[in-house]
Amino acid sequence: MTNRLRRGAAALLLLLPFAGCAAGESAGQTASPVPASPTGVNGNARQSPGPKSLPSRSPTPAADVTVAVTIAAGRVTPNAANVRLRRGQSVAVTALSDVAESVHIHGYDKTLTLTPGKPTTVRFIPDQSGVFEIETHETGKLVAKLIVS
Amino acid sequence: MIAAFTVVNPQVGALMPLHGIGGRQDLPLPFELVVAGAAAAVVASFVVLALAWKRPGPARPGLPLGEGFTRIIDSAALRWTVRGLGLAVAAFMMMALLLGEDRLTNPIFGFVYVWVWVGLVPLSLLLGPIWRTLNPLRTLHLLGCRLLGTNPDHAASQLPAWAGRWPAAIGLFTFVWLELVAPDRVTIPILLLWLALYTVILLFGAVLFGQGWFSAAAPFETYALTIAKLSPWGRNVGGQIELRSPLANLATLTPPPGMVVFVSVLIGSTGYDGFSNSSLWVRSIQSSALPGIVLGTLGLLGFIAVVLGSYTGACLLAGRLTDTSRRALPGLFLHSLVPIALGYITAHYLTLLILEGQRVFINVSDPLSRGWNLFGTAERGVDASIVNYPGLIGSIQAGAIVTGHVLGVILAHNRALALFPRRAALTGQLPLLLAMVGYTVAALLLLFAE
Repeated sequence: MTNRLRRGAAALLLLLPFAGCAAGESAGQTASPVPASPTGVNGNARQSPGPKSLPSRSPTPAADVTVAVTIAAGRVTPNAANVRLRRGQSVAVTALSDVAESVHIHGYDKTLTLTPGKPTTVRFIPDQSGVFEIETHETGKLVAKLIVS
Repeated sequence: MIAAFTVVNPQVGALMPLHGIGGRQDLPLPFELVVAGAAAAVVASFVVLALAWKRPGPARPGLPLGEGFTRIIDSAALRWTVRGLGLAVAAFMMMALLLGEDRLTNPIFGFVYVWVWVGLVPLSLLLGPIWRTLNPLRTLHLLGCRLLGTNPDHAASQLPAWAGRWPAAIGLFTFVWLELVAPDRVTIPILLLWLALYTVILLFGAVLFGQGWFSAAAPFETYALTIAKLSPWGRNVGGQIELRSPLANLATLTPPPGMVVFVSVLIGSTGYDGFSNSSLWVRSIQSSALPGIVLGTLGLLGFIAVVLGSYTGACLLAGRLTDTSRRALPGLFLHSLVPIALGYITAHYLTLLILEGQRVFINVSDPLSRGWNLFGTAERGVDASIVNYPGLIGSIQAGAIVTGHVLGVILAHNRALALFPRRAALTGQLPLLLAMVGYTVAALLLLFAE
């Protein structure tokens, strides 16, 4: 039943009027290894002067707000974090999982398909205000809410 | 992972199109709006207490619309047209439910959770008690009775007087549980199970108790008729249709047993809906060892219990302070909770109705997912321009809560003056007034919570 629900959700999201038409949207899913910070959320557009430096092998995706998701041993971090940003600011969601999983950003129809051990990133610029949930699809956990004002 | 997969998960709800587009929810209220709303509610309450300090005069009579108008409204032709409409829409949606695919583009989900559950509110506000005629199960029962030549009012067994609206209150609880707690609530099997039980209980009950059973047990009808009391449509003693002030109309509400619980379920579940979306609650559920369904059920029951307990407690305390008979007071003041409920509902469901309501119009064109375009709407998109006016949305939400509060306070004030002895009327109003301020502040805080 859950499978069917997920398929349905995916089908619905394909129909979203603004799916994929976010202005200035950057290239969809690019693999780039970014280790998760302890909180999983880096940068608050109102506070952070610039992207935080992370020890990584390749350049950190430059974005106003970064959400780093880790899925390890069945635990998902962050756990329902609130991430605030303004319309027009860029957001990068990176995810690293130890199992096959996918992470979905509602309303903007972004999905990160994860293969174990391979960090994946999606960057986009939200152009609609509201609260949008970032969720794991297999386990249906709420990772974070993007609060776009 | 596999184990976690099978765990009942409250967040499945986030996958459904229930809170805005594909999981979009309204922005939290800005704190200034919360403070301004709460202050306005408190000030307005004391203005009503202090300035409106006079005996209410005799209720202003309604404006009769004439026998001709009443005859048209009551005509068999119009009644059967409306019944036919209700039956046709229901039949169409049952086709989508039974033959359509189990995916979110099936219009049945939006029909039940948005058009019926939310849409019956504006419909009843505009057109009054139309739901009784639209109710397809009532129509089916009526047709069955016509066919068999029996009297639809005939009851093989008498429903005891104390039953009142208790069956509807229980039915409403099962629906809000389905909407807010049940796992997989936007899948065909779960929705079908609920609707099948609902249909069977209502139709069998009607056979047993006559069509009065629909009044006692149909939750949507009881809900719609309660909201219809805030419409300008009423009937005078002679049965003629008249135009009334909505508040005067609401004051004619005479709640049967069980109605206090019914309204508490309505308000409590709307509050829980806001609370259950907060990250705080989701975080605690996700890190709890208890299954989400248990915590969700307890949370929902808790919210309902708080509303029921605070309201009943305030009424009993008022009775004690004024030396009036206490048992009847919760029923006598219940109408004053209806605008508060309406404020909650508006604040929570307005954007859902606007955005997801449109999606049902799109999805009805292809109910069986076969690429049809029955009504020419299949290719349309949802007009989501409203989402980029968050200030407007927030103001409407806070405004609805505060307006509901002010109307509730006025209604309670007038009822207190009519019921309580003059010397104690002021103190007698305080408990309920404080409870109402509490509901309003709580509602604003729930909209503020992220």
